[in-house]
Amino acid sequence: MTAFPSSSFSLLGLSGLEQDALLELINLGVGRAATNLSRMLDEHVVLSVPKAEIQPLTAAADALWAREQKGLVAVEQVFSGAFSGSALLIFPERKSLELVRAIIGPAPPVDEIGDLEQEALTEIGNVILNGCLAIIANTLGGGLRISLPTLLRGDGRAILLSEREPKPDELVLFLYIDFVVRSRNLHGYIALLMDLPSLEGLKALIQAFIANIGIPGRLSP
Amino acid sequence: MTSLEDLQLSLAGLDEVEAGILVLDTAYEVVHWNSCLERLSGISSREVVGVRLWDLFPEMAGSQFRRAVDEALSSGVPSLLSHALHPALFPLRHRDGRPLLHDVITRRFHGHPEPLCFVQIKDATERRHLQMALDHSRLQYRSVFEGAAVGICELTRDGEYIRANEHFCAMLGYNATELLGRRFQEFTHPDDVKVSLELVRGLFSNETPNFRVEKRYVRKDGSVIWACVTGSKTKAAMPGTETAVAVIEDISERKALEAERQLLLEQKDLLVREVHHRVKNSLALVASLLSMQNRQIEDPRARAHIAAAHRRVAAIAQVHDRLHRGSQMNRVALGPFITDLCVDLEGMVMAVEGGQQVVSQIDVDLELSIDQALPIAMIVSELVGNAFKHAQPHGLPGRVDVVCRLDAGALKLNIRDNGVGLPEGFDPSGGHGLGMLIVTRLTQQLQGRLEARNLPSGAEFSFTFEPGRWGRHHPDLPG
Amino acid sequence: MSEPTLLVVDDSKLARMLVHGILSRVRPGWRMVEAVNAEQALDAMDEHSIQIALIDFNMPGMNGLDLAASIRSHRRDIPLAILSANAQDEIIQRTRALDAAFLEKPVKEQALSAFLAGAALPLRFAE
Repeated sequence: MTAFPSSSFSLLGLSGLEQDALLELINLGVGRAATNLSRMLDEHVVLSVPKAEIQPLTAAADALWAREQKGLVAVEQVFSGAFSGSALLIFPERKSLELVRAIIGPAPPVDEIGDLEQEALTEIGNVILNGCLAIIANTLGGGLRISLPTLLRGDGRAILLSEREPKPDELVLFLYIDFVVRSRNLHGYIALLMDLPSLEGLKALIQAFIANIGIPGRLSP
Repeated sequence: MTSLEDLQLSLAGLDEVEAGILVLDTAYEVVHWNSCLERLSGISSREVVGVRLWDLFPEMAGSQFRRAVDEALSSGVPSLLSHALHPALFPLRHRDGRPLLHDVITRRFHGHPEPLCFVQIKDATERRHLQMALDHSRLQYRSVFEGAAVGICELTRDGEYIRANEHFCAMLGYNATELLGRRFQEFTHPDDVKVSLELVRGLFSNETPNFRVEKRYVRKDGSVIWACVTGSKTKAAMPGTETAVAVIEDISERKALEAERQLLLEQKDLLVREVHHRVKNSLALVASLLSMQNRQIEDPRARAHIAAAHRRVAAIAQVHDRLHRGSQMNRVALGPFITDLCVDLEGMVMAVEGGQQVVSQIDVDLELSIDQALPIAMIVSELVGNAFKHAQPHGLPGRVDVVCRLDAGALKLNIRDNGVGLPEGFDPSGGHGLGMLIVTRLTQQLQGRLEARNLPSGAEFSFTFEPGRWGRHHPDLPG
Repeated sequence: MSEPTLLVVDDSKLARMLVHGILSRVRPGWRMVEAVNAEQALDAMDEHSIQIALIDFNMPGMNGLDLAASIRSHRRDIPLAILSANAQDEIIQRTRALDAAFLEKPVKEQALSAFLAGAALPLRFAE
C-alpha cells in the first residue's frame, strides 16, 4: 500500500525501523481490508491512507469533532490480550449511507440510516476492521481476543470518548481513509485506541517481530 | 486442550440452545451440527458430521461465509454476517415453510489440537419484520413530512432546526442547508422571540404537551410573514435527546384579510354613525319646526296635538342620537338613554305646561337593539306624555316617575304619576286616543305586557318585556 | 554461472528485511539488491546483473505493476513477482497479464520459496 504523505508517530518514541514496521503493518492491514471489501462487493475498490498519526485520545476526539461536527457512525471491535484497546471504523453518517447504498443498492429514500442499513454497515465495518485486525493478530502474535462488531452513533467526541473513561495516557492511532467504491469517493477514519501500557506492549511486539526476522545488517541502501 | 470426544460431549449441551450451532475444523469438515440446525435445515447431524461443508453447500465455498471461516481459523477474528447483506446464507426454513432470515456469527474456538470455527446462526425473521414495520412508518412519516402542504420542522431544545421540509424552507425563502443547524430565534420576528422561547421551554420542561401560537417570521428577503405554529414534543429513545416537531401554517393572507375586514368595519361604523347623526339632526329640525309652528296656534287642542307630535319626533331623534354617540352602532345602552329621554320630555312638557317634573330611576345595565330601543322610546314618551295630559287636568304642577329594573331577565318599566288617577274601568288596550293606541301596538310588537292601575294617589302603568325572547321584527309603526 | 542476484523493490525497510530473512534461509547463496522505489529499481537493473525481481505493488510514485511492465518490456524472460496485501482480483489479473507471480503480503516463507524454486528452474536451464 501507499506510504503515507503525512504521518506522525513521534509520541510513541519509535526508532526509524520500528516506525517503518508500524507503517508497513498499517499498509498490510488496509490492503487486506481493501481485499476483503472488494471480495464482498465483487468489484475493485481503492483504499488509501492520506494521513496517519498517533495522538492523545482527547486531542483526536477534538480534531474529529472539528472536522465532522456531528452525525458520525462507527463500527467498533474491542480487543484484549498482549495489548488491549479497541478498533473503530468511523464514517460521516451521510457517507456511510452512500457506502451502504453502493453495496445493497438503492433503498427507500430515508435520510437517516435505517436498521437494515445499520446492520449492513456493521458487517461492512467488520469486514474492513477484520482486515486490519487479522494482520495485527497474525503478525504480532496470537492470544488476541477480539469482540464482535457493534455500531455507535454520535459526534466525534461521543464516539471516541463516551462510555469509556479516557485515561490521561490514552493514545489513538488515527488513520484517514479514502475509499473509491463503485466510482463514489468516500472518506472515513480508522482509530486504534490503546492506553500507554498497551502501546508499550505493541512496541515490544514490533521489536520482537523485527528481531525474529533474523539476519541483521548487510542491507542497502 | 480437550480431546475431540470431550469437545463433542460439551457441544451436545448446546443442543438445547434456540440457535443453530455449527462447528467446523480446519479442513472445513463439520464437527458439530446441533438439533436446532437439524430442525431448521431438515438435515440430520448424522448426515453431515465429518463431511466438508462445501460438499454439502457448494455455493458457500466462494461466499463471505468462507472468508469469515478462514479469518476465524487463521487469525481468530470474529465475523458477523448479517441477513441485511446475505438474505439466505444457509438454506433454512421455519416449521411453516417460510424461509428463515438469519444472521451468522463466526469465531475461533480453542480446545482441540487445531483451532475450530464456531458458527452461530441466529433467527432474524422477527427482528426483520419489526424493522420493516418501523421502516414503513419512517417512510410514511417522511412522505407526510415532505409532501405536506404546511411547513414541518424538527428542533432541539435549544431551538436548533434539525429537519425542515421543503414547504417550510420555501415559506422562509431559505434552503434546507441554510436553515439546519441554526436556531428558530434567528428567523422569528424580534417581537415574537420571547413568547416563542417560553412556549418551547414549556414543552421541554413538560409543562405543556403542545402549544399553538400565531407569530411572525422574517424571511430571507426581509419580508415578514404571519404563521400559525403548532408545536409538540417527540418521544425519544434516549432521555435528553427529545426533539420538538412544529407544524407551521402561513396565515399571512388570513391576517391581511382580517386587517382589511377590520378597516372596512371601521369605515362602515363611521358611515352608520354619520347616518344616525344626520337622521337625528333632521328629526331635531322637524321637532323644532313643530315647536315653532305650535307657538302660532291658538287652539289649545290643536296645540296639544302638535306638542304630542313634537314629543314623538324628539323621542325618535333621541334614539338616533344615542346610536350616533354609542360605542356600538346598533346597540343602545338603556340606562342613559331613558334618563336623557326623560330630561328631554321634562323640557318639552315644561315648555308647554310648565312646572312639571320627570324623575327617572333606571337601575338597569342593559343594551338594546335599535329595533327594541325605538318602540321603548315611543312607549316611554307616550306614557309620560299621557301622564301629564291626564293626571293634572287642572294644570297643577305634577311629577312623573320613570322606574326601570330587570326582574328575572324581564325588563320592567313603571311610569307613575301623582295625579288624579285612572278613570273607572280603564282598559289600556281600549281606544283612548292616539297615544294609547301607539303604546298598545308597540307593546304587542315587542310581545310585552302592559298593565294599568290606580295607586293611593295617582296612576301607574307597568310595561314588561323580555329582551332575550323578543324576535327580530321590524318596528311596525302604527299608521 | 554464479548464484543469481535478486532485486527487491519495496518502500518499507521491514518488508525488505522480511524477504531478506527468508532468502537467507532458503537460498543462502543468493545476492539481494534493494530499491525503495521504481526509479532506484530501474537504476539497479542497469547497474547490476539482476536475474529475478520482487516488487511491492503499492509504492509512492510509480506503482509496482507499472514498474513490472517497464521491466518486462526490456526483459521478456525475467521472473517477476508482485507483492501486496491487497489481493483484489483486478490486481492479480493485471499481475498475471505481465506474466508475473502474485505473492500475498505478509510474505510467507513457503510461498516465496516456491516462487524462487520456480524462478531458479529456467535460470539453470539457460545455464
